[in-house]
Amino acid sequence: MCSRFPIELCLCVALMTSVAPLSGCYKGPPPAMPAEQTGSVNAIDSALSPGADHSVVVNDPRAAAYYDNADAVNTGRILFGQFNCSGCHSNGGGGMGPSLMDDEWIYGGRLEQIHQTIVEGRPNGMPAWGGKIPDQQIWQIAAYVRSMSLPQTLAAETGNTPSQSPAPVPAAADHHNGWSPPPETTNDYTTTTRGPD
Amino acid sequence: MTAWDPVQRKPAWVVKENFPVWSGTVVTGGDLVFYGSMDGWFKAVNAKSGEVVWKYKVDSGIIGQPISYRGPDGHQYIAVLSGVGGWSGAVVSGPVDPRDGSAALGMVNAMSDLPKYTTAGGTLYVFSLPH
Repeated sequence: MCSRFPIELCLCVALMTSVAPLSGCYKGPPPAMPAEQTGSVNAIDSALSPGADHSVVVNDPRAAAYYDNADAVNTGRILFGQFNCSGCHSNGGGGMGPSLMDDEWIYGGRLEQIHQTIVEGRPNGMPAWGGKIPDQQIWQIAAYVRSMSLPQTLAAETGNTPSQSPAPVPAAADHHNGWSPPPETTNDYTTTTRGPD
Repeated sequence: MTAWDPVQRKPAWVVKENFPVWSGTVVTGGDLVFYGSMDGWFKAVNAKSGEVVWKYKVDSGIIGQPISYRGPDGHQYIAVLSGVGGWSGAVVSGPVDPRDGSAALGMVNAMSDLPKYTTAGGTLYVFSLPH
């Protein structure tokens, strides 16, 4: 369970550094950070780990413009390829990075939460793109990623390359949670049920 | 699975496999070649002839490196870890969605039939040679 792939590794590392050791993943006290890494300016420093004390956005008013927006998801699809998101996430099926076309979200599946994940980066592989990609384009990529698991997008799939005809994200899609955290994670963002205003 | 004859510059023998052979090989002093397949067979091949002289079905595909060692009792043992995964086995044990054939850089498509032959696992097998 603890060594299958990067997602599980990520979760185990997070569990190991939490205060309460959990059975199955706990391998002893967390190793001390090597002195030479302290204050490193090159390391991607994201505090957002499952169980860590860092908040996920619940509602970002900027998201509203990217619901029911066909241009956003279509532009996002092109950007997703141009920025090589597909290098790790393929066409939504995942690879080095997790799948994006299912209903499991480690860091929240709402449009603004996906945007936040792209901006901040996430431990064990996801770079922080804030300041690197214009924010409007990050929103468009987020809208496309949010669209991947929509029933309308999945239904439009022909062959075995999904996410090629992304449906606009209905505003109602994030009024409720159509997603869940992966099994055995400690974070539960399913409580973020407020819809886009 | 190919034994290469570098002098003749051609294969000495070939064992047909249906999946990429991701395990390493170990060859004993008694001329046995051990290797594992991704559909979960651990095999011993006559190093001279290429004849498969023994095979054993383990609980998951093999991508590990078999080793040979002398046990504390003085006998020779062969050990191998079963448990398919990595890039090639991502469709079985990785966080990929099989609906996307391009997932894991296309390895999901290339290995799309692997789930019919093996499941994820993780078991160390140790065999003793006849003595």
